[in-house]
Amino acid sequence: MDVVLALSAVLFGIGVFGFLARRNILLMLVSVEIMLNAVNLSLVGFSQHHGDSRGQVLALFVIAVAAAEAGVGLGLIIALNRNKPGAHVADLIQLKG
Amino acid sequence: MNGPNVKDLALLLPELILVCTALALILAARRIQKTPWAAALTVLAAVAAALASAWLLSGGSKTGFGGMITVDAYSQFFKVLIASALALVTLLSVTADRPSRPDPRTHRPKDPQTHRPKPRPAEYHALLLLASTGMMFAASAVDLLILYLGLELATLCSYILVGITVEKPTSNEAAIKYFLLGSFASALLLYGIALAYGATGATDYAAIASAFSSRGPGSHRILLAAIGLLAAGLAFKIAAFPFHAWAPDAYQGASTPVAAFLATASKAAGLAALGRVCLVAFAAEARVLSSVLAGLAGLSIIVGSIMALSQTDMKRLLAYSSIAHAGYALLGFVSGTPEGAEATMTYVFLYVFMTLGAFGVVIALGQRGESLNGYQGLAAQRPGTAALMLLFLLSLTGIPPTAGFTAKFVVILSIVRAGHLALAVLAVVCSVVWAFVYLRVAVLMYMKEPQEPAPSYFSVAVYTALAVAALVTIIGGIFPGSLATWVVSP
Repeated sequence: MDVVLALSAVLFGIGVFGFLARRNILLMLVSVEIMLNAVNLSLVGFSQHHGDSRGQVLALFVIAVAAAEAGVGLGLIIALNRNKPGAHVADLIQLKG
Repeated sequence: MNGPNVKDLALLLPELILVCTALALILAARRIQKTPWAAALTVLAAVAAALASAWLLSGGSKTGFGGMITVDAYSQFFKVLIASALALVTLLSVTADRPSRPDPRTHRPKDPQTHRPKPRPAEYHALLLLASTGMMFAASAVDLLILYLGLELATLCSYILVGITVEKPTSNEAAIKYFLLGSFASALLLYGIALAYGATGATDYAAIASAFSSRGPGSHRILLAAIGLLAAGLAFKIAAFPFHAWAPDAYQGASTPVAAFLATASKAAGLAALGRVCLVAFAAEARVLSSVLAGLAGLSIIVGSIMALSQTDMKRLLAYSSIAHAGYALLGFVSGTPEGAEATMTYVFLYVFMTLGAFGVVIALGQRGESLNGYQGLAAQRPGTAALMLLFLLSLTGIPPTAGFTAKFVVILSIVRAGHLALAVLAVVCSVVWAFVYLRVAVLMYMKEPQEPAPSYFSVAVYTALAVAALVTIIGGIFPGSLATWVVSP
């Protein structure tokens, strides 16, 4: 149990670090997916620990929502690319203040 | 706990109305070419959902779906509010999405691949309806799973709504920024849910609360981490400091009705969810929650006020205004009492209408309304519009006899009663800063010479929405008790 929790915490940390350190929009999206999968791991671990299936059900929902989120995110990146090629945060400088 | 039951579906009547209308609009999207048709259908659905919410309440409070959804005075109050915001935003968007001409700088005629079909009005309205459905679920949720799904449905639709004007680079940029920060915040919220589940073995609020109270406050580190992560995720939804960075960019880049929707309905749903999480699920940790919320509220008010001083774009100004108002609304939850929650509910209700009014005037002025300089000499050209804007600005400042005064009065009274005098003083001092910010616009309208030609008149729909917003703003100020019977904490 502790091993699963520790692994999920480490994965979540990697995701947070990746999100904050990366400057490419696609890699930031990947980092968020890593965070969501870390959460799934801990949900399944907790579910095993408590001996009820609620956590696993939650994890299934999270997988579905993560897929929808990735779909919306990639769609937005494509829309951005059509007006201006490149997927770098440094390009997002028109809105300021 | 009973299993799901077909009869439970009746509890979801308002949501079902919105979802069915949205699906019908998506199916018929090809055939609906004119905005007014889709808008009329959406307004009808919103009114029907509001009536259904009020009607469901007459049977008393119930829970359904194995204790995941509840129908009580608190949830129905927010559902009626979200439905009204949806109706007004739909009315306001009737003129706003004029047929968009491609920007000559970004138009590339050589490449036939980049030629995109015109966005269909039905899709925009379907997204608004689905986002409102998600918000209603969040208001009704008594289970962390439903809370997460409701908020995700609302935010996923909001990302698309912000980016729906695909030919505008600023809209793309705003949507990407909103999406990246939003999905990060969702992941934090979800980790908080997982930790709360791990520590208590339950996802429904009542079981979490009983697991807490059997253990005694502050006994478990994991629970404190869960509270922190959940508060962070929900603070993002209401754009409270330090999770506010997306709001100004998203509001400026999005079309104005979408910005109005984010500033009102989305914020109301976030506060509804936060209120129930604080007062029901984590009631045993009231002391920790109270200091976390006091910090969020105080810093949101300060940061919103200071940043607003230097804005020259009206939508950014209103974004910082919404950040500060999120702080004021949170003040009610700081005390952790039912009276405090009722103060927050009153605040949110009145805030939604005055903010929609202010955004409505920005929409009615078109391109000119988006920069502060566009307001120069408005009173000489359109005295009625200028007077309405003045009413909404006075109300947002909190000057009697407008609704904004009632709203600020109840939340500040609730924190004074809870003994947070420093926060109360801070709230009042920052109101003075806001008086300067808002009255600067009033000075531009009334004391400057017009620089631009008078704006053209707009459709009946926009004026209807403005009239409703103005009516609520005036009634809420003159009869401050008129809301009292509707406001019931969870």
